[in-house]
Amino acid sequence: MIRPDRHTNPDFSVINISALILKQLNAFYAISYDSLLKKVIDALGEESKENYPYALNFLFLLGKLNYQQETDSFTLTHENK
Amino acid sequence: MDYRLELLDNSTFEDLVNTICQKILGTGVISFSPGKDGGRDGKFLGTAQNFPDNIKPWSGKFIIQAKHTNNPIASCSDSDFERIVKDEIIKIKKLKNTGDIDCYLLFTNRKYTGVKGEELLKEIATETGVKDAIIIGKETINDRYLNLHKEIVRQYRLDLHHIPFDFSDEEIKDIILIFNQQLKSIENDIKDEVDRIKHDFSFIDKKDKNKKNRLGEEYFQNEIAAKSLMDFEKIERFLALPQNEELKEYYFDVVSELSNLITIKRDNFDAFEEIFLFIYKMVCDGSNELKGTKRHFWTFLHYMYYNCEIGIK
Repeated sequence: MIRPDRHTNPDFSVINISALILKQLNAFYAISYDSLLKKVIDALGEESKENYPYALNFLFLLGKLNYQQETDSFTLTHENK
Repeated sequence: MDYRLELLDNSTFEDLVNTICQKILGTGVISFSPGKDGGRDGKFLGTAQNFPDNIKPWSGKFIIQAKHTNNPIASCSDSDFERIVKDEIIKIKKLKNTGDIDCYLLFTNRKYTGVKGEELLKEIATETGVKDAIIIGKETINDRYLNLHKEIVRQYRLDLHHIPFDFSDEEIKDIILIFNQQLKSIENDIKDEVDRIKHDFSFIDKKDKNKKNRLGEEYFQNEIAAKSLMDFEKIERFLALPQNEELKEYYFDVVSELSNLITIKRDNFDAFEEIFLFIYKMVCDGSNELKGTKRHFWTFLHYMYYNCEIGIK
């Protein structure tokens, strides 16, 4: 899933979507799940929707993201701001 | 124009041949139903309308025979066709003895090679005494008969095989699943091979690859480049879509199995195109689901080869 293979389209890969998410969260303090998804789709196309949740999981596992349940939104963790 | 006659089944090819004969001989052509036909797929009695030409047409008792192959590169020079002709000579002799033949037409969707073709005709005439005999290969069928009688092309839907068809995602998915079903399930020790193929990003120049793998230049140009190449981008896009991740995993399993099979069986074949045919028969003969999509099967095999996923690099 994370490691690209010879048929991976780099644009829709987990790595690329994760990079885009980090870029957005650097520009905005907090972004809701839906708004962030819309930004990803606007930038990369409808096909990127499939790997969006995996990219979020990936960043969460790496300790890059915080999730605010009350607002259904994401922020960068303190050391990543 | 090549109407991909190898994609028809034997019975449809026989019907097609009889339909062509109705145009060139006359409407009195009679078809024989499948079964013991004593070496006849069709017959005609009388003077041909337009065969071999309208100046000196043949006449008498015509016997029509159709010999179909699903090998797109088969030729009248092949040894199996020579055996077919030898069997035909036995049947023609019997018909000649009973006075049931004056003219013999043998249609085949193999390539007609001038030297060997003439040799076989001479053998028929010498052995049987039937002087008005002819072997009609795929070039004549395509160029002289089908191209001039588009209604036959439409009747048998041959244009569906020829025009760039819409190779839908659904069909790509079906092919991968059927491939997966027909090949035996992957063994654990091949999983390393799957991984190796997945993450090997190297390619080689096609000329070098064809040389290393003994794939004929003619086959590459006429079959891969001319017919399959236009659909490779579609397959590539399909495999690159994140929602097809699972199918992509199946695809890699299939590629690994085929790669393994080719390595084991390589010495049994001379030209690489024979391996394509071997795999086609192995998978398609066991599958009813592929009935409408057999033409895509070649596209897939060619894609794997072109993409350096099967064959030596």
